[in-house]
Order: sequence, then C-alpha cells, then structure tokens
Amino acid sequence: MTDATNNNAAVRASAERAAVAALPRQESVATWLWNWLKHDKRAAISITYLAILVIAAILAPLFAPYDPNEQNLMDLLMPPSSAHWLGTDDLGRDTFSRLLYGSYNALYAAGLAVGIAVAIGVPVGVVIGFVGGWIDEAVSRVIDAILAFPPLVLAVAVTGALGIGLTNAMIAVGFSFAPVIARTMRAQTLVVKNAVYVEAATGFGASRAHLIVRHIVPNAIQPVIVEITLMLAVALLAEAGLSFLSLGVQPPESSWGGMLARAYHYVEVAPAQMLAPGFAILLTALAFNTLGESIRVLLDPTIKKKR
Amino acid sequence: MYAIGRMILRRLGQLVPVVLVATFVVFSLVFIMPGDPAIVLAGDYATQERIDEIRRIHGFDQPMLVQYLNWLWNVLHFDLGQSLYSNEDVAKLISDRLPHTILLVAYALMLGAVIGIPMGIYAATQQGSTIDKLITSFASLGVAIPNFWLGIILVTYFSLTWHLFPATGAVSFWDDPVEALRHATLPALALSTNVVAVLARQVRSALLEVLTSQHFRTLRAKGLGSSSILWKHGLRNVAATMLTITGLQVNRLFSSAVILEAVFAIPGVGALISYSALNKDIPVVQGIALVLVIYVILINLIVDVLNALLDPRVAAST
Amino acid sequence: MKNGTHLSGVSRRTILQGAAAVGGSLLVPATVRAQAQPVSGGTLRVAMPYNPAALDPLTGRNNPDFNTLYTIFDALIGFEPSTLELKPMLAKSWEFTDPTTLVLELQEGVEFHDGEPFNADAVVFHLTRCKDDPRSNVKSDVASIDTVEATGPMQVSIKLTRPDASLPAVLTDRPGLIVSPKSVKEAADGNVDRAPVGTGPFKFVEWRDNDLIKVERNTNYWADAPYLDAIDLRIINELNTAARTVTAGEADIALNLGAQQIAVARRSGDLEAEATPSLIYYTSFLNYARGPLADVKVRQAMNWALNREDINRVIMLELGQGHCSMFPSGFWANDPETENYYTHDIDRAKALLAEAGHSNGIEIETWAWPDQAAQQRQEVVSAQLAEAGIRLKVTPATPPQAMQNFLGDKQGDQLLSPTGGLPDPSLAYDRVFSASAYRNAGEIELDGYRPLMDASLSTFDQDARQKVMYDMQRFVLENALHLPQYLSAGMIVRRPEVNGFEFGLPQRPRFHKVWIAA
Repeated sequence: MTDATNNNAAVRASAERAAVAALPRQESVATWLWNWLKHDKRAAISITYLAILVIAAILAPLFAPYDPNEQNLMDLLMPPSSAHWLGTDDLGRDTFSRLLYGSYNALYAAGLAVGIAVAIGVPVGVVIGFVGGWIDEAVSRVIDAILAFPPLVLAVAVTGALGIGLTNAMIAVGFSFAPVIARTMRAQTLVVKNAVYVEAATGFGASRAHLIVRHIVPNAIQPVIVEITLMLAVALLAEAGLSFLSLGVQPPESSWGGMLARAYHYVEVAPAQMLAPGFAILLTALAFNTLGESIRVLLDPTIKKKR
Repeated sequence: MYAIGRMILRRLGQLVPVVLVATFVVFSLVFIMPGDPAIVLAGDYATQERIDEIRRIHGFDQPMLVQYLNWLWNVLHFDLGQSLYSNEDVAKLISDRLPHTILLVAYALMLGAVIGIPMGIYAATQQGSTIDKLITSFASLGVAIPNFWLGIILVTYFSLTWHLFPATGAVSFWDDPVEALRHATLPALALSTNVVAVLARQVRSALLEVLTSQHFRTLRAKGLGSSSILWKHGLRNVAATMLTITGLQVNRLFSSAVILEAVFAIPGVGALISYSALNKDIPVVQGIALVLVIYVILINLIVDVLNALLDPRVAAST
Repeated sequence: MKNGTHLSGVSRRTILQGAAAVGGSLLVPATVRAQAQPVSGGTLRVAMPYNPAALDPLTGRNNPDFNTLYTIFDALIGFEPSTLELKPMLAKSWEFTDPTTLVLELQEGVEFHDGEPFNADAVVFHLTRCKDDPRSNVKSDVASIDTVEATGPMQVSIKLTRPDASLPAVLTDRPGLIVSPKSVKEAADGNVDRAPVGTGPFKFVEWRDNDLIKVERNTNYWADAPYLDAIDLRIINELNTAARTVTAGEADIALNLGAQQIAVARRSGDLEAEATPSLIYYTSFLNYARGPLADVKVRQAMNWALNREDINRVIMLELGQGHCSMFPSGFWANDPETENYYTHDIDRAKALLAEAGHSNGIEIETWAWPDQAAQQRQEVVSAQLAEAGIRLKVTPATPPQAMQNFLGDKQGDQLLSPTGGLPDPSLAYDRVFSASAYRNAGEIELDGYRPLMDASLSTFDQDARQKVMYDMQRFVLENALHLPQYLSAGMIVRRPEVNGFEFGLPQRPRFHKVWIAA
C-alpha cells in the first residue's frame, strides 16, 4: 500500500521503463552494488545497518553477555550499569542480551510475513491479471473485501484461529498483506500483458505458463520488489504490535514488542526499560523503508529529480 | 456529473458482494478457531451438563453455514444479536464504542493534516535547504516509528511526569467535547505520525510538480508572485493528495488504533474486536466487521467522489 | 508474612445457628479505621477492571461481578469480610432442624426496589429459579437442595437430598442474592441480566457495557441507610490505567488491582494502597489420571521444586502469601501446620523425579493464558521447575481454548490458572478435586478423598468441621493434587477521603457503609 502504486499512471510508466531498462547485467554484481551504494548514501547506511543486525541476530549467542532467559530474581528492573548495559527486566534478565536475541525474531517475523504475502500475492495477482474475465472479477472482490479490513484486526482474528505464537501471527500478517501484493501484481500484469513483446511471443505460439513465467513475472515484479522492502517495515511493526498484545513471540523467548509490553507495565518504576526495544524497532523499520525508497529510485530514475 | 453518478452506483453495487465476502471470511475464521465459549459461559465451576445446555441455547451445535445464514438473516432484519459474554446488544455495543474510535482516527487525521500539510508546503518552497532535509527525514521517521511506543512515551512524559493530559480513558464527545479532545490528544498524536509523514511527503512532491511545471513558469513570466500561484494552483493538488491519503490511511489508522486503544485504555472498537475475536464472541466480531467494512468502503467512495469532482477525468478511470 | 495484614479472630462459633441480631448492630463495618464521623452524600467513583457478564446473580459467573452485585442485592446470609463468619442479613436466623432440613427466618419489612414485598414466596421463587432456570449458572451450588417450601409468610424450609453443611455459606453467594420475582416474571424470557432488581442499599440505574455501571441510593432501604448518594462503577480493563484514574483524581477507588499498581501508589504517598488477604490463589490444575502426572512422585517433585517465597516476592511484590495452602494464613479452614508442607528443595525434587524413573528430567505439557501477567507467572514457574529438570512445554491459549483443550478434550498435563474465592472450604475442594468437578481434568478421586469430602459436608459442629478441613488440606498436599503457587491479595488503591471500605477475604465488597470525607 505504498503511495505510488495506487497511482495508475505511475505504475504503468514505471513498468514500461522497467521492461526496457532492467538491472544492469554486464558488470559483476559486486561492482554494480558498490557503484550504487557509492551514489546512494542512504541505501549504503541502511544496508550496513541491516547487515549488522542480521549478523547480530545469527551470532547473538556469541555476542550476548548473558543467557537471555536466565532470571536473576535478586536484580529486578536494574538501571543500566557496567554489568548490564541496558539494565535488567522485571525478572532480572539482561535487557541487552534479550534485545540481541529479539533481533532474530524480528527479522524472522518480517521475512516470514512478507514471504507468505509474496507466495500468495504474486501468483494470484499474475493469474487473475492474465486470465481476466469472471475469475478476475470474483477474486478481485475477495481482495477488496480483505483490503477493507484493518490489517491488524484481520491478523488478530487469524492468529486466534491458528493459535497464539510468532509463526502463526506472522502467517496471519502475511495473509493480510497478500491482497496488497496481489493487487499490484495484477495491475502490473495488465500493463505488461499488452506490451509489444508479450504480444509478439503470443504470436509465436508460446504457452500460457511459458508466457507467465518467462515474460510477465520478470517484467511485472519490479514495483513489487519495492513494495516488498517497504512491507518488511510494516511487518516488523505488526510483529511488534502483536507481541505487544501478547499474541506474537511467546515467553521465555524475547521479542522487541514483548519487551515493550512488559516495560510499559513497569513504566512508573523503570521508565528506561522501554527505550531500547522501541529504538530497535524504529531503526530497523527506518532502514527497510529507506532501502525501499532507494530501490524505487534505482528502478525508476525519473523519481530522482523530485527527491 | 453523469460519470460520477454512474461511478457511485457501480461502487454501491460492489458494496454488497464485498460485505458478504468480508463477513463470511471473518465468520469462517472465528468459527474454525479452537475454543468453546460455552465453557467460559458456564462459569468458573461449570459442569459438563451445563456446558452442553449452553451450546444448545446459543445454537453452537448447528453447522457453520446455518449459523452464518442465521446471522445474515437477522442482520437483514436489523438485528445484530447480543454479545455472548455480556448479553449486550451488539448494535448498542458498537454505537457506544465506535464514536471513541472514530474520534481518535478523525483527530489523528486532522492533526496529520494540520502538521503535515504546512510541513510539506514549507519543504517544497525551500527545496534543498536544511529545513527541507530535516522535514524529509522527519517524514521518514514518522512512517517507521511504532505508534504504540510513541504512545507509551507520550504517556510517560505528558501524563505521568508532567500531568498535562490524562494518561488513559476516553470521554464521550457529545457529553463533554473539551474533555473528550483532551483525552484523545495523546493517542491521536501517537496515531498521527504516519499521516503527518505521508502528507508532508506527498504535498511536497505534489507542489514540486507544480513548481517545476511549464504552466508555473509561464505564470511566473507573466509576473505573478510564486506564493500566489502556489496558493491558487497548488491548492487543488494538495486537496487531491489529502483526499487520496485519507482514503488510504483510514483502515491503516483503524489498525494502529487496535493497539493504541490498548495502551490508552480507550473503550473503542479496536480493543473490542481483538478481544472478542480471541474469545470467539462471534456476534460482536461479526457486527464490528460489518460496520467497519461498510465504513471503510464508504469513506473510500466519498474520497473518490470528491476526487472526481476535483478532477472529472478520474471518474472515468475508477 | 510481611504484608502485615493478619486476619482477625478465627470464628469458633457453630454455624448451625445464626445470631438473632437485628437491625443496625449487624451492619456496623468491622474496621472503620477513620476516627471521623461518617458523613452522608456524594457519588463514589469506582474503577474496576472487569465488565460483569450479567447482573442477574444466577447467570453471571465471575468473582469481580460482586463489586456490583452486593450494591444492588442483599444476600440471605451475610458474612464478616475478614473471617467469613456468617451473619444474618435477609435471613434473621437459620437452623438445621435435622441434617437435611435448613429453616430460614426472614427479615420483615423489606421491599424490593420495584416496591414488591420481600417474603418467603420470593425466596422460594428465587431458589427454585436457581435450580430450574435453563440459564442458571448456579445449579451445581444448589444441587443438594431437594425442595424449597414457604412454611410461613416469613419462614422458608429447605429440604436437602443429603447433609450439606456448606449450604449456609452458599446462601451468601449467588444463590442467596434474592432477585425480585416480579422483575423476572415481567422480563422477556425471564432475562434480567441487564435489569437487576434486588433489595440492596443501592438501586440499579444504568449499565453501559464495558464502560460504566451506575447505581443510586435506595431511599427505602430496610436497614441503616447507606451514606453514599450514588456509585459510578467505571470499567477499565487495564490495571495500570484503572489505578491511574485514582492518581489523576478521576476515580476515588480502584478495585481488583495487581501488586505493581499497589507498589506504584505507595511510592506516590498521597494515596492509600491496601493489600488484604484473599481466598484467590494461583495454582496449576493437574491431570493426574494419566500421563506423567499420574505418578504422585512427579507431582510431589514439582511441588518441592517451587520457591514460593521468590514467586510471591517477584510477582506479588510480597503482597500475597508464598505458601502451598489454598487458604490464607489465619483463615479458619487453613491448617498452619501444613501450610508450608512444601518448601523449596531442589535436591528432594530431583530425588523424587529419579525415583519415578525420570533421572534425565521430564517434560510436562502445559496450558497457560496469553496475557502479560500470566506470561510473567509462567516464566517464573517454568524457570524454577527447570532447575529440578522439569521442563514445561507451554501452549498459550485464551481461556475458552485452554479450558476446552485441557478440561474438555483432556489434552496436556496441567493448566496454570487462578482460582478460589468460594465462600465455603468444602466447596473450594469439591470444585477442584471431586470427580464431578469440571476442573478435575482426570475425573478421578484418589483413595481417601471421598470420606473426607463427605465428612466435611455432614459435620455441623464448627470445631469438628475445622478438624476435617485440616485433614483435607493434608490429604491434598500429601497427594500433591495440584501445584499451588501463591495466595493472591485483595488489592485496592483509594483516595484517603474514602472511608469504610473493606474488600474482604472473598473480594466481594459491600459499599453500604462507605462514605466520603468532605
């Protein structure tokens, strides 16, 4: 649900451009990446941050000064100190260690939700866009119906149906995002379908499946890539929100949203406890968003002028 | 005008299938949810016999489709049923609670406009300046910040530390508008960041489009001041942007309101629907889903109509 | 015990007969701490976290409903809040003329809020409704009642199918809250869930669901007139929020709070924050009919592994009681000898586990509620059990889901849950451990349980009954029939101007004698 994708004209224009000038293929990926990041400082910073976060998430057991689940019932809600850089929580657990371990859940959650949204949204969007007719009409109504719901409300209901827990919550979020991707993909497919080279391929008697896989998806997917990156931020926020409502990550595992919920409970006693997880969510969402915007510019050079 | 009328009719026609599909989807979801409200209804010290009895009384023993059609039949007779847990009429429940949520969302939209639009205009006129960069960065933060976290921070300082606003709760707007707004200020502020950010950004680029247009240069050449040109010609762009964003943001705002209502203990529909969904209070979930879907669709319709009035070409394409 | 609020004297009085006290003397609150003279007038603004399911005593179901119920309804039999000693209320006196006949003499000159007279017919109608109304949630409470008969205009005789010493206490509970027969007869389908008419000190005005319940003074009250003009009971689901409304001056008193809110309020200093002993306790219901918990050694090992003092300190901030009895220290049915039957002893837990053939540890499938407070409890309990090699595999689920899975479908080994609050100890055991109890997932009774249960119901002498209760407590502990964790507390925050409030052991306050200082 980015702003530009709802602007039909912009979608069409960018898709047509993208079809002509896809990613550069001659140079090596590394060189290309280097050149891009050299010119786009924001993208460079975002990618660096996200890379560090991924490493931290994977190597949390190495970096974390404490076992994140080890309770120390004698040191509850301690302020930051040299022993506990970010203090301790209501059960005397080290906040910094929990934050590190929480980053894994945050990234896993965002990735899973968006992955599911893509896995459902892309095929559905392409097929209904390509086939058209009453199938398109019917599925589009269902998409409208789902989109008319506040996504988090839908996610809460689906989580309830599947059972409380991080994976189920993220399946729910992915399910509520899928229609967004399906709609974009459908719009793109409609544009690409009528493009000259697809018509040409049809003329050569290419099969439908071949058309979809070889021509339509690659050319229609680029705006979706931007959408996916931006959606990672929204999924991250949704995970935090659902964990705040105790529907996501379950104890004793840590999650940023869950840490916030607990910290809010003790806000009068230990207000500092709510800062770190909040900033972690903010920075990560910011990084995904900035990266998304940069990719948008990369894929559609005409935007650059406006920035 | 004819095109607009046709658009409205077409969209209203689409409303029925969308509402049917949406309520059916929700009904199925809640229905397949594990758990049995009868057990809770039977009390802390229930007996199996009593639980079975409650199932029969509420018709939980009937097939899902029958239960859905029963619900639909009653809705057609303007009966949304009663909450399983409190026996409150769902219609009354919604009419008591929806105003709190609407106030929150409307207030957030208004704050978003009041803060976001001037920011966008200012940034556009000062394009490339430090302030422009600041505003653009601020806009990025606004989209990324978790609303409920901002809400917690606002409560911590503005309520618990400085006692400027009430920490929590809500007052009916019709009973006491001033108090109602005072209660809604912090949550609305926390909720508005997204709108502020998106509006600031969109207004800025909408105005930049005007500023860089051939038309603008022509008017400039004729000796008109740039601020008056902006005022006259930029305004339409801004209005259109504002409308589109309102339409897009409304259900996202409802979404965030679910959590903010929990943080600020506002008795709105967001908190109610998540609670009811998890506890399988089907009549309440269905009632709210019905009203929310109609509400969101109507708002989008109104937005599109207004947009079409601003720019008749739109009517033909939507 | 560090919270400093001990129970006052234990009742040794027989419950066979109620004192024939009349009028005012029985209604003087037990602890009126303020020295000042009570003043009439004012609206008390109450914040409470739970919306009642119904205000018909028969169809409601949760303990916090009583915050409202006791304003509108009088019970047949009253009780002393801090001891549960029974006292006359709508029944001036009561007597078991034989083990299966209870005769009540009713208070004269009482009127319902709708102007109808309160008399034997009203009581007969009400108790019959408890037994027969399809929507009645209290059928199991009155299961021992065979027939109810008006044996005089102001006399009711209750015939029982079996001896039931718990019945007078039951009549302080929902079945004893007499609803106006006229209001039931006139309501559609007899549904008075949202239109309660009783004889209580306050009359129902309105109920905005999940928002506000209003009651106003019953000017025609049969006993001493209440001091307050009206009470606004505001429903605020989140505990911190509820407490803050008092801090912010938006409410006068907040009920059913958690330890955290008490600690915060005490820091601020200008509010009164009280934590009093409570019959609510936190435990795990165990399915001991099959699986790992069928072995008593495993159940005992779990009980030895818990450090209840730590749990009380972390979760209750020492406001509760960290022992393994189902009742607070000082309560008449609580045996002080066995309240610390299990202490923290990891070695013993491990040894028992090894004896049971689980020297490498054991996994226990566990259900728990999904809210923040429940998560915190479960985290502490899990960590303590893990030290003895008992690993909990926890599935969070909402109450309807968890109860259906654990109690209905017999999945999993234990369910972490608060319980308690029943007015009679026989019932407290019966509703958790009898084979017929819904909370008893295994639906079995261990050898020795039934004779104790029967004795507790057919012993009418209070001292003898206390002895039976002590034996029952020991039996439950020795057999480790559940995993008690800690006793909660009745926790409230109030403005100092609010006087005469008593939450009481069952957390069922009467606002009759509450007054607000000018």
